[in-house]
Amino acid sequence: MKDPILRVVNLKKYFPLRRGFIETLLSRRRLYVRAVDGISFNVGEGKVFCLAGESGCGKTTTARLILRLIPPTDGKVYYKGVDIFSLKGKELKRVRQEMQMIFQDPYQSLNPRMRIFDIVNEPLDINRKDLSYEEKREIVYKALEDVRLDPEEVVDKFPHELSGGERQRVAIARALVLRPRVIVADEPVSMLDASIRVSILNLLMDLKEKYNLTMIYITHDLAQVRYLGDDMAVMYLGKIVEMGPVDEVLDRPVHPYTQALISNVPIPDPTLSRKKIVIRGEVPSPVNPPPGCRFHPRCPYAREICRREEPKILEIEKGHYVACHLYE
Amino acid sequence: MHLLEVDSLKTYYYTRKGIVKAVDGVNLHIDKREIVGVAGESGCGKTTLAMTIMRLLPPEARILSGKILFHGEDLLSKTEEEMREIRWGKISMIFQHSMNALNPVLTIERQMIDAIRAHDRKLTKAEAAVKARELFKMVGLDPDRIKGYQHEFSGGMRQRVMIAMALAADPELLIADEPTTGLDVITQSQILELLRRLKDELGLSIMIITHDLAVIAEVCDRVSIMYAGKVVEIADVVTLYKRPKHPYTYLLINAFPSIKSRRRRLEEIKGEPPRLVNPPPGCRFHPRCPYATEECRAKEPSLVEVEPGHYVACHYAHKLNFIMER
Repeated sequence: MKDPILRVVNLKKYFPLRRGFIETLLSRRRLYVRAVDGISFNVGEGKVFCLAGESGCGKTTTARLILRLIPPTDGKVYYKGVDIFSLKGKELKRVRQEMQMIFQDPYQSLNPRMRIFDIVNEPLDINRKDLSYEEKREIVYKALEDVRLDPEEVVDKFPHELSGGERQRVAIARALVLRPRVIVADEPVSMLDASIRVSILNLLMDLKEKYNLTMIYITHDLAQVRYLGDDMAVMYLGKIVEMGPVDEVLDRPVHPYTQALISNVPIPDPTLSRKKIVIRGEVPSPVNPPPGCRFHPRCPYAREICRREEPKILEIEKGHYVACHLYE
Repeated sequence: MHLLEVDSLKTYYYTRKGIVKAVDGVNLHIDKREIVGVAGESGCGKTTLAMTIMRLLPPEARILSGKILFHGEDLLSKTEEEMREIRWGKISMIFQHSMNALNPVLTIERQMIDAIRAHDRKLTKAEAAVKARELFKMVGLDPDRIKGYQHEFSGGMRQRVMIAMALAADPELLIADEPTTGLDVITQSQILELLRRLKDELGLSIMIITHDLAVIAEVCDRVSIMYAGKVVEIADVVTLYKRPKHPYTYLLINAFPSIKSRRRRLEEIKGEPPRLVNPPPGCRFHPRCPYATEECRAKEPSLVEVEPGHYVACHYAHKLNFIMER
């Protein structure tokens, strides 16, 4: 990949575990939730990079780190070659304007006491003090049109007067007004009804094309990854287990976890029968993850080395990476 | 005779904002050893339908008309006392998110014993404990973990506990409201597998209420599609996915991205589902339907059998033929 717009290098985030008073007295050892534990990937400009995985795998924490909403425990995130964690003041503010987020729940991400105009205008009020009211109004109206809402109709409304789909459109408009280069979308359609979902997915794709946006799309739904992703990474317990172009990974998955995950995705077609890979147990706790390969307690192919040594991430084909001892 | 038959059922909520016509003339049936899916988007009335069958409605809800025949007897004419025998005993239900409603300070065993003895007072605690272990085994849980607490169980295991409790009094019909929503993919697949196995092994009938058409395709024998308080289409699962007749069914199935199919732009359904306080006249789907005519705006279509076992509520059911490309 030539000049990725975003480069994530060995990123880690450990959250200290809060424990009871007595427990703290009895043991000196601090415990951590290893939400993200050393992940690296590159995102090409204008691409949709999907982070996929089950709940608790660290995908949302990764998103928040990339936007510097939380500080990392270790590692770097480079945006256009600049380490975002080293930025301060004006520089930081500029980078922040270029990276925006769309959250999962449009019922919680919009302030219920603000009118739609003010919600969409707020980023401009904060970051673009150079603009006049008329200029800002024009940008807000344009953004609302971009997300296929009728500005005249919605600007004076409150969020509760809008449906879930309309609210998510407002959230997208708010993310667009500062002309960002990168959009991080965290499960943007998982709270929406099926008939609304596709229109939001199509809208995101159209906006991406129109403004040549780069998107980091976080989802547990591999069908959505297939629908809009260019590249993807599958996460398990804070680690990337497999990564590559979407069609390559979904058609020829090599990691036993990816294989199991894909085989268990329900397909809206009752005539398709396929073999589901049964794997034992459930995802272990990220406080005390298994040694060696984190998937080994559930892996049907686990060998001695998997219990001992953590697998390194290897490129098995051009652009297709896997972290598994089977391929070493 | 069907095991359960719902006939022209109407349940409205009388709220300050107006009358919410949540279930507005619903027909469907379930046979023995059959999994029937009731699918629709939020607010289409699918949960109200289940709550009406269980007679567990809040005070502002009223059942206006219709029949719910269970073994040919109308549940709506039963007294509350008679209903208590049927509820859980003959028809039981797993509520949405109920796996998060286990008591955190009692062992799972204690809660199971309570559930078992609530139906059969004659059982001693020891006998109930034996039965609890059997139920645990039946739903694929390790009986040695029965003395554990809720927080020691994962989401999938807790949902298995809920299923075990629902089976405590050997019901004939299980109603499961969004049984896999919020579970991870692999766990979801295991729970669906369990439901299918229970159907085969116990001869259980199951009604699955969900918004997820992929889940329906995985596990159901027959499907009812609901839209805005009405059933718009009923068919066996293959017919429904391969040759749907109602435009809403067709558009809804096409609105689901599939992990298998190549990427092509999916068709959007314009607009949003209507609010049920003031639903559109005529066919309720007409404002969003690409095929709507004057007739659809004026006259409400009734649910008619277009071929054996395939029911559609659309004025143009005989003309519209959709072929699914997948």
